[in-house]
Amino acid sequence: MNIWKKFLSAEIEIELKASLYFYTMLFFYFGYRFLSGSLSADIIIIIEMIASTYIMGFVQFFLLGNFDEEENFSWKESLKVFGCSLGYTLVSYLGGWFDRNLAVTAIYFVFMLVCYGCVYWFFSVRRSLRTKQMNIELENFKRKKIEKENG
Amino acid sequence: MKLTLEQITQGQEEIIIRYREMTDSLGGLIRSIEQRGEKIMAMTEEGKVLLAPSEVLYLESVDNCVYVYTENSVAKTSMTLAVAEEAFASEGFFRCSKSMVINIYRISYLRSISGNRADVTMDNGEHVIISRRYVKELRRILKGEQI
Repeated sequence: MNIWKKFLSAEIEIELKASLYFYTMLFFYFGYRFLSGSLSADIIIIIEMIASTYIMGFVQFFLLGNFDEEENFSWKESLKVFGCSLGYTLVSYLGGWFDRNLAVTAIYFVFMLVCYGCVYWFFSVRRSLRTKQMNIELENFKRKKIEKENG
Repeated sequence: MKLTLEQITQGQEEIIIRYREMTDSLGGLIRSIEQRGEKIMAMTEEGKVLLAPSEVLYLESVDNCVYVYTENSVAKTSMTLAVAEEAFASEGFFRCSKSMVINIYRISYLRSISGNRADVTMDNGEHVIISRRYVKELRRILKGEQI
């Protein structure tokens, strides 16, 4: 049961992360399609996006140490960001997401780098807010005891 | 002073002290008996000690032995982590992992770290990492949802 719970916990985290990156990809793809004068999207490409984010989620979580949640961003994390962004870009090119337009693909690569940066910043801010909140709760907890003792 | 012990098979346990005059030593004995459920008996190199819960930073189980850590000393106790957690929950004792019970009132700082875990800094500067599952419980206690 413990192994099952661990697996489920990891699975949920991977899917949450995959959803996050999927939405950013979708945003870029829809923007490209709109600017190209089209109001339709290719469902196969969307399925490829979902699959690639899910697979990359597994890779990030199990092989790359969930680096986008790390506190310290060193050259190792930068390398992982670069690698994952490149991975997504290659998939986008092979899948013809942007009609194999090299310029758009290059912009997409930069976009993914920025996305990773934003996600890292988001988790960093979240940790910072949680730290603040937890310490407020701790102080309140200790103060209640003092107030109780003082009657 | 004569000491008489009588074993009973039923009825409530009680201590009766017959005295002519209340002395300081008698008063000390009475205070010690009254507080007997609120201290942790432990063994240091110097001998037996009775530790108040407020002195304890954390207890840790290592190789089936439980050690009590205060700011200045480490002592070995026969009390288990489960008993300590239950007996002194109202004193802030909280099970933060399988092998550790910390005193919440002796935490100086909490820091959220990756993986929804927490880095707990105790009053003596030591750091304890709490996993996600225990962080959730700790926060419930801090919010007053359970004790």
